[in-house]
Amino acid sequence: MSIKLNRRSMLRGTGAALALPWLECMTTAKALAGADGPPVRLAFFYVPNGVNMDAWRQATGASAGDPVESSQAAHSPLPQLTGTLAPLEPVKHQITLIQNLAAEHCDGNGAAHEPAGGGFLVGKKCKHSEEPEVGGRSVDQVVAQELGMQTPVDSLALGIDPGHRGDHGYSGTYMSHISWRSKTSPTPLELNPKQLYQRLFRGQTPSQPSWQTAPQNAAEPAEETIETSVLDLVREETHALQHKLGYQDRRKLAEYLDGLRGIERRIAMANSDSYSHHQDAFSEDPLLHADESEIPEIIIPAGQGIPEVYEDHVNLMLDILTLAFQTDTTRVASFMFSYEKSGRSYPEISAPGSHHSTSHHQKDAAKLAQLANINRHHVALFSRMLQKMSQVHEGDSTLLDNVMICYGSGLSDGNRHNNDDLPVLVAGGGGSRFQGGQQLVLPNPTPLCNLYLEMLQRAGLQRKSFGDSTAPLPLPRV
Amino acid sequence: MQRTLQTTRVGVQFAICLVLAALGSSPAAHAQPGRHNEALSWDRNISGIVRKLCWDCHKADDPSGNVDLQADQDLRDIRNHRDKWMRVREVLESKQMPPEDARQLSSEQRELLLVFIDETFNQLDCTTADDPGPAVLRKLNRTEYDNVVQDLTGLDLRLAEAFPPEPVAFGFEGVGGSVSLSAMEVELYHTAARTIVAELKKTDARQPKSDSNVVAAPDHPDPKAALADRQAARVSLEAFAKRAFRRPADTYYINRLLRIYDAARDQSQDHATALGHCRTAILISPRFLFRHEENQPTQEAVFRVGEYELASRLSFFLWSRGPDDKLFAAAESGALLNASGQSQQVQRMLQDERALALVDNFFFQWLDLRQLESHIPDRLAFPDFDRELVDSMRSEARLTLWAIVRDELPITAILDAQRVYVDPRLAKHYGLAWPSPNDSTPQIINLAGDRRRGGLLSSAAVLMLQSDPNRTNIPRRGNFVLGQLLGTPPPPPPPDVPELEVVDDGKSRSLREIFELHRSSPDCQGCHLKIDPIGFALENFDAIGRWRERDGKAEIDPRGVMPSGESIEGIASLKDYLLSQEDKLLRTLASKLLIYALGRGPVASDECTIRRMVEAAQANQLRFSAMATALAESLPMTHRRNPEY
Repeated sequence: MSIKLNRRSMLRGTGAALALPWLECMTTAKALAGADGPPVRLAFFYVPNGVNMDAWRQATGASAGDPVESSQAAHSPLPQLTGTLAPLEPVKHQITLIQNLAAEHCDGNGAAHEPAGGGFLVGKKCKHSEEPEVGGRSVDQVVAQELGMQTPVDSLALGIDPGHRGDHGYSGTYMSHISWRSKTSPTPLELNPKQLYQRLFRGQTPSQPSWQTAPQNAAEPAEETIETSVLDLVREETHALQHKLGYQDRRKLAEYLDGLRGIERRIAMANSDSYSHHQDAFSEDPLLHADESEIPEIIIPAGQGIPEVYEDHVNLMLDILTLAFQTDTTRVASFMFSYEKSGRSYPEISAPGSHHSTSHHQKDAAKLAQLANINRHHVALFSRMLQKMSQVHEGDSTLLDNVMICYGSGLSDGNRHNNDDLPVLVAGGGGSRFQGGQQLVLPNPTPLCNLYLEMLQRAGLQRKSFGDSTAPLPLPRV
Repeated sequence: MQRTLQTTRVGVQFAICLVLAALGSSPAAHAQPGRHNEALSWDRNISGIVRKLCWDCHKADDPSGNVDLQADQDLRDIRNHRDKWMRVREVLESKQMPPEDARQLSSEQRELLLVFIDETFNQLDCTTADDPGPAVLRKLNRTEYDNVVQDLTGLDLRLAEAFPPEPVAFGFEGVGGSVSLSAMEVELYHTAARTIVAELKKTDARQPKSDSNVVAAPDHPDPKAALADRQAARVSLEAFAKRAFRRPADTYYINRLLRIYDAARDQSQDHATALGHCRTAILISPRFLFRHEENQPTQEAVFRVGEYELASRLSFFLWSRGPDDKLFAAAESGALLNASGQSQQVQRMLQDERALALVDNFFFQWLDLRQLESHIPDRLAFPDFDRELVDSMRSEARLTLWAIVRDELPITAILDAQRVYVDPRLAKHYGLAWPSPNDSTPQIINLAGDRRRGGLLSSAAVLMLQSDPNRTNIPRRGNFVLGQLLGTPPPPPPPDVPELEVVDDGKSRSLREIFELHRSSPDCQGCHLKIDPIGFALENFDAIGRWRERDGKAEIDPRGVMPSGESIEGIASLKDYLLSQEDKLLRTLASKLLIYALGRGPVASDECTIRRMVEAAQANQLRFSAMATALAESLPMTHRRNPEY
């Protein structure tokens, strides 16, 4: 039972001068967080159906239709943002636009949209199969597996639309899920803000950690209570059942046992976790909370809890995502603006046609304009979230300084279904590390997985490669 | 030319029959065609032809047209990929393959390949086929979870609505290896269990009971009341666990539950709270959430599933929920394990309202109708559209499918019927007079020979969902009919569809005209020749399924010619054309129903079950119940084998 602190709290807290015995636990905390101060939180944002590439890179002044070529990585300041990226102007200093990334693994036999979605974060090809099977664990889940135990919830996989059946011998699940816990298990997609909010905060008032206490890495085992004996019984049954099952099904029940452990952990945290920052702050030291941001109020519509208007639904989900990061309820998330091949219509922004049909623009000017509208709408919703993150203070920094968000699609031009020259940008400071306000032109093609590798390393994982990565992506640093 | 070919093939087949007859051989379940005839042997001859003439393009890595022939190395592989080889057969017969610029087959080789394919699939001997397929552990899907909870509690809580969408395999949720269970879902189940228990406690409290609610004061325990409470808890938990696990729970388990009950009472919790803990344990038990079936370790071969397991298989198949008391009784008396007893139950269940689950769970997934929840037409283009109209469309689809399930309509009512099941709103949408002004409940309206409506294909629900939000979508509708209904999906479109070069000459063009320009490109032609005539015939229906004569200023021209030569004049002749292919619809329905009922992907011997299902329907006026009964009584439905460890 020790309290873990980092260096800043020792300098600030008056009691810290007397706190020699805490030195040891401070080291532990550093090892866990990988750095001083708030940890780096990762997120992956997916837009389906590729984008209107000309409008996407309009600001860069590149001639229409062609990516900028470069034999080695070169970066330059982002000019005034126009076209699709215009809504990002207020947070431009936290944006790096990346050119010439390619995702070979998003290519599929015959079908384009299924492997583009299913393979996007996995870095390996999807199996051509009605039963979904990707090449391995997706990058967000690699992080969740290693760091997830430090937070109440290991990761979030959020979305808006439930998805659609697959085509051409592919499962529809490839299009609706970018996050995969294992080859055959997509991370369940949360669409309902009400349910999400309840699951994350369980009727308690969310509170922001002071970041002067490090999170505890594991809860103490719960005391023997009626609740735990209920779980014990279920565990006993599950073990007994496991012995009767074949190999495949034993795995399903192993997952079930993991889930039971998760419940036990939450019960334990709720019962005995008086010192963790996941509870209301314990500290007596007023300085510790001096710069705590206000917890925003989340208003969830009555009934089912899903707003009727698309924009409201997205904003609500992203507000909860922001809150989950702010309160350190989780440190890794993915979000899908819709499923791959989505035919959603956006009449509210004068794009009433099917998104998928529109993406097959066949160079028709009206369709290209509609597509650019849709792309810009998504960017605007994303920008709104970034601006909110920039108002959340975390010590000397903001939440936006401490996130690293990949925003992009597994397809480039929706009409061509090509997987090179992808529309990708990175938002956030990655721990006040990145210069931002830059456009980075890479040798063509550079694997998208290079970006993932850089993200994994920024999150503190000791990884040397991911997917078809060749090196960590050289994002311009401060 | 076509004619000579036909004659030759009949000749070759005849020769083979003679050989087989002469040898007096009855082919085994997996007989090899041409075992006695070198020319037809896969290993000795056919594989060589395929390798030489097909593999260049249809290779495992990036196969042309998405048809990978290299993947099938032996007859077993081939039999497992029936659909692929039926497509091969089709393109060989119509001489679409090999393409003109590739090395050509001699006419003898082409004949041999056709006969080989026919023989390979026809020689499957269903009298000895005995493979029920792999045993899978199935999890309750969202629909099933809600139904089962309703049966357990009498409460319609609909908790699973907010569960995350489940992985989809073969077009259905919760099939095969795609079933997953993350920690997050376990947590949702746990939360749901607590909600159910809390709701149950409320209803229990409203029902006055004699002594089971007496709270024994711990300081002055009343041993008699405590004992009565405990007995009441035992009885209640036995019933609850049996319903939840779909079989009686063993005494050991009940005693373990009662230990939890006792511990809670020892902590001065009242009877209802203590009982609640035990119910929570049942509601998060893997035996509740998964449909576990017992192995028989001593059995090496296939064996019949036990009576409770069969009851569960039937009830989840037909009702998407656990067995009711009558089905339990049939299981317990042994009646369910004999053919007539089982048949009786299946008939009863199909007539029961709970069989509506087949409509909502099976048919709605197969026919993409679940998209009704999310599809939003463009309100500027269709100001009349609102949510009530969607409800009316959904109601028509449900009532039509329900009529099929209950044998009021034949299976082919998916394509065509002489009446519609509509409410006043939809009748107006269809331009039909509403017969009873004072009654707005849905009614059957006889169409008196007007074939523009009737059947699901020409229902507003299907026509709208296979459109874009603001306009119709010709290839999408054609693709739906060919792929989803007839089971013959066209290959995926090539990427980078060429731009439409529409000359701006001031003429207003219909969508059809634009499409005809588009498909003049040779890359697109092959498939669009098949897809578009179907889409054209449906052009008389707009993107919310209303009848129309014009598209913009242009008059609709619904005519088209299928590649096989049939000309289609419009909706009525499209219906006739599709009805002439009813066997394809029946086959598609049978194979989808089998995947849905068994919760696993297809295996080679399923072909036997599918054929029996189709034959059963054909022998019984295309009744759905005949097909479903054939499946319920089939070997894969009633048998299993031990899983691989």
